[in-house]
Amino acid sequence: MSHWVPELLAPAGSLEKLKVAILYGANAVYLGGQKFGLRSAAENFTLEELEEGVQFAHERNAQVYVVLNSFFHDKDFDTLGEFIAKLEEFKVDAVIVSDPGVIKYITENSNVEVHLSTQASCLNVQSAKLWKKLGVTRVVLGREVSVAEAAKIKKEAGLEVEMFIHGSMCMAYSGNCVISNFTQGRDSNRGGCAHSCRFEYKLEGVDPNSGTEFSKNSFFMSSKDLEGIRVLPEFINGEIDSLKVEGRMKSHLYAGTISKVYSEALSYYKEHGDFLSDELKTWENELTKVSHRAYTNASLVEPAKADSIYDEREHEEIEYAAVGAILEVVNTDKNKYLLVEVRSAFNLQEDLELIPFRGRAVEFKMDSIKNVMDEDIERTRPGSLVKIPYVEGAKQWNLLRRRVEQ
Amino acid sequence: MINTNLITYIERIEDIDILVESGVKEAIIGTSTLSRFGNLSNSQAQDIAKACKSVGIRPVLEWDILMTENVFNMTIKTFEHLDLNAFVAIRLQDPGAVNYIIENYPEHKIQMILESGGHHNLEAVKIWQTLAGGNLERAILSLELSKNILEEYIRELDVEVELLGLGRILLFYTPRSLVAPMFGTDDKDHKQVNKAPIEVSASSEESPHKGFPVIENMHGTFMFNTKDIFLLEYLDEIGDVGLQHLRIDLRFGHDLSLLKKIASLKTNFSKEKATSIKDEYPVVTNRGFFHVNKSDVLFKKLKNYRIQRSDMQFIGDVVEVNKKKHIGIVLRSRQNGLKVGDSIRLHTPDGKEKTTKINSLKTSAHEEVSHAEHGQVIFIPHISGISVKTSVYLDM
Ligand code: SF4
Repeated sequence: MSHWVPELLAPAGSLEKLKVAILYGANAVYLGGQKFGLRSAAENFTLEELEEGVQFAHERNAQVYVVLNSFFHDKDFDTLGEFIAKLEEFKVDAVIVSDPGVIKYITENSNVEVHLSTQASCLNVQSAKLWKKLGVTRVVLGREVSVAEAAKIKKEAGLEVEMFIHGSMCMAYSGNCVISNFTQGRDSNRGGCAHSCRFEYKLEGVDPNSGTEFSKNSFFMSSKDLEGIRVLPEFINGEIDSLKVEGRMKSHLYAGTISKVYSEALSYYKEHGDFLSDELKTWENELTKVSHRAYTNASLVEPAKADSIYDEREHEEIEYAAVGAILEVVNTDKNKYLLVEVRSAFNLQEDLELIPFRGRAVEFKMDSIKNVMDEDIERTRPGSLVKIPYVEGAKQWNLLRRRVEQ
Repeated sequence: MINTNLITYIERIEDIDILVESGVKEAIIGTSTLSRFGNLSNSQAQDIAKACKSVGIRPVLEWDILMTENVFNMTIKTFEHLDLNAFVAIRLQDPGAVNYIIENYPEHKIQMILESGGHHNLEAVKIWQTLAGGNLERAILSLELSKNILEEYIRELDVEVELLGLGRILLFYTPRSLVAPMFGTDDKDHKQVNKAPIEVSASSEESPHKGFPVIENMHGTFMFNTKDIFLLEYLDEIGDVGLQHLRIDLRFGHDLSLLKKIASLKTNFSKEKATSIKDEYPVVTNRGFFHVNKSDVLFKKLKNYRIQRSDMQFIGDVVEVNKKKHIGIVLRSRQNGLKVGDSIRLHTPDGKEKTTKINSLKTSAHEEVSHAEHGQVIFIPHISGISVKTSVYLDM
C-alpha cells in the first residue's frame, strides 16, 4: 500500500543544481530567470537553460516553478509579458509571485498557475481566501505559521499550501524588512538584502527588571536555520501539499544532500506509513553534514522562542565539503574508472564518500588518482578532471564529499 | 494654503485639544490588541473616538498587526467587542484582516496600509481598489515611492492617498521575542498589554548607522531607522503633487504640541519655518526617498554577469584545460552534439571569444570518436587562452 506524502520542493540555483536536486529525489524545483527574482547573485537561468531544465524535470515527473518574487516597479511590466509567454511555451508548472500587480497580470494574460510567494506573508485563513480571489492556486505560507495552522488554512481556504521545511530564515515577516533599503540603499525586496539581521549589535537601554543601565553585544536578530525532519508526521497529517527547501545560493552538495535526505524519509513513509525507521538518525546526521547554522524547528510546532535566535557570529557549520561530481562512469572490459570533475582538491590516500542517489554514503580510500592522460598524481586541483577507481553503484552526477577538519 | 490634510495618532483623551487647535481633522486610534504600538483598551479607544467625533475629528481605528491563524482568531475575539460605529474607518495591513472586514463588515470604510510588501507599482495598488470596492477610502503608500511616482499614482487612483510625513521609519517587524530573552525576564511581565514595551538602541560595527531604536512588545520586535522621516520642508511640493493626507507620527515620547507649529506650515509655509521645526525635533531626520529612489541601481551591480549560454547553438562547458595538450568539454546541450569537422565558438568567462574547427575528438579513455552527444565528456586539442567554465557553441 502506498501512503500519501507531500511534494518535496528543492532549490535550483543553476541548471546543474536542478539536475542534482531531481536526481537526488526532489519532486519539484524552483528557480529564477534572469529577471524578476530575489536572488540577484544566484546563477539565474537563461531561457535556454530554463527550457532544458523543464524538459529534464518533466522527463522525471518533477515540477518546475519559476520565481518572480521581486517587488515590481511599473517599468518591470514592460518585459513581463514576453517572459511569461516563454514560460508558458516551456510548460513550466507554476510561477511564484509576491506582488499583487504581477498576480493580476499573469492570471489575466496567461494560463500559467500562480503560487503566492512567502514574501507576501500569507499567515491566516482569511488572507489565503483573499489571495484565492485573485486567482492564486497555492500559497507559500509565512515561516511564522505552524503546521497545524497551515492545515487549517488549506482546509478552510481550499487552496494548496506550501511550507518551508529546511534552510536559512529571514527573521522578519517576509517582505517586511527594509533594513537594507534605508541603510545601504539596496532594495531587499528586489534582491539587495545585505543580511543586516546577521550583524552583531550592541544593545543599550534600561534593564526593565532592575531599572539600571544595560549594555550587551548580541546577534539578537539572527535566526537559526530551519530543520523539520522530525515534524514530517505533522506535515503529512496536515496534508501540507509541498515542503520547500530554502537555498538557491547554496552548493550542489547542499541541493543534493537535502533532497536526498527528505526524499528518502518521505519514500519510507510512502511505503510504511510511519517514520519508525532505523535510518531516522542517519537522516538527521546527514543534515548536519551540509553547511548550516544551528538548527531549530522555528514555528513549525509552536511559535519560535528565544532558542531560535542564533546568537553567534555568522558562520556556517561545515562538516563535509563536496570534492567533486562524477561526470562519467566507465565500466567496460578494457576500462574501469570514474571521471571526476574536481571541485575541491583531494589527495591520494584520503578517505572520501560517494553519495548515491539512494541509500547510505559509500566510504572509500582514494588509493589511485590519475589525470586524464592516465598519469598517476598525488593531489588533485579544482577545475580539473581526474580518474579514480570505480566504486560499485556509482552513477553519473553522483557527488563526492570529504570530512572537513574543524 | 496647502491643501494636504495632516493626520496623527491620539493616545490620550486629553490630547484632543491640541488636535483641535492644530486643525487636525483625523486621528488614528490604536488598541493594544490590534495595533502594533497601540496601548489602549477597547473602551478607552471607543471613548477617545467618541470624543474625537464630538469635536469634528474623524476617529480611525488602527488594525495593523500581522497575524498567524491562531493570533488572528484571538484578535477577532477582542475585535468583535469593539463598537465599530465609534470609528469612521479602519486601517488594515494584513490581507486576512482586509478579507475579514470586507466579508463581515461590508459597511465599514477601509484605509489600506500598503507601506510594505509588493506595492511599488500602480497595478498592485489598484488591486485593493478592486478587492475592497467602494469600501476603500484610502491607500497609505510606501515611503520608498519618490515624488514623481507618487504624483502619477495620486492622479491615477480613485482613492485618496496618505504618506508618512514625520516619524519613525519601521525597518523590521517580527513576531519573535528578540530582546526580552536578554533580560532573562518572563515575557508576560512586560508585554501582555503593550503598556511597558522594552526599548533599546542597537548599534553595529558592521553598519555605519548607530543607535537603531528597537522595541519589543506583545506583538513582537520592531526595529526603526536611526533617522526619522521629515518631509515638512517639502510640504509645498507635497501639496503640489496633490497628496491628500500626510501623517505626523509623534508617538514614542515626542511632544504632541509640536503639532501646532507643524499645522501652521499649511497656511504660512516657508522652508525656514519647516527647518526650524526640524531643529526642534529631538531626533535626527532625513527625507528618505522622497526626491529619488535608486535602491535598485546598486544591486544591479551585484548581479553575477557570468557568461551564460544564450543561444540555441550552445554545446557545453569547458571542464578541464591541460596546456599544450587538450581541452575537456562536457556536452550539456540536448539539441547539439559535436562531431569532427564542426566549427565551434568559445566564450571565456572574461569575455574573450575564439573560434576553431574540430579535427579530433577523444573520449576520456583516449578513443578517437567521430561524434559525441549530450552527457559525454570529450577532449579536443588545446587552444590557447581558453579557461575552465568557457562556454562552447557551434559556430554556424
Ligand atoms: S536583513 Fe535579514 S530579516 Fe531582513 S530581509 Fe535580509 S535576511 Fe530577511
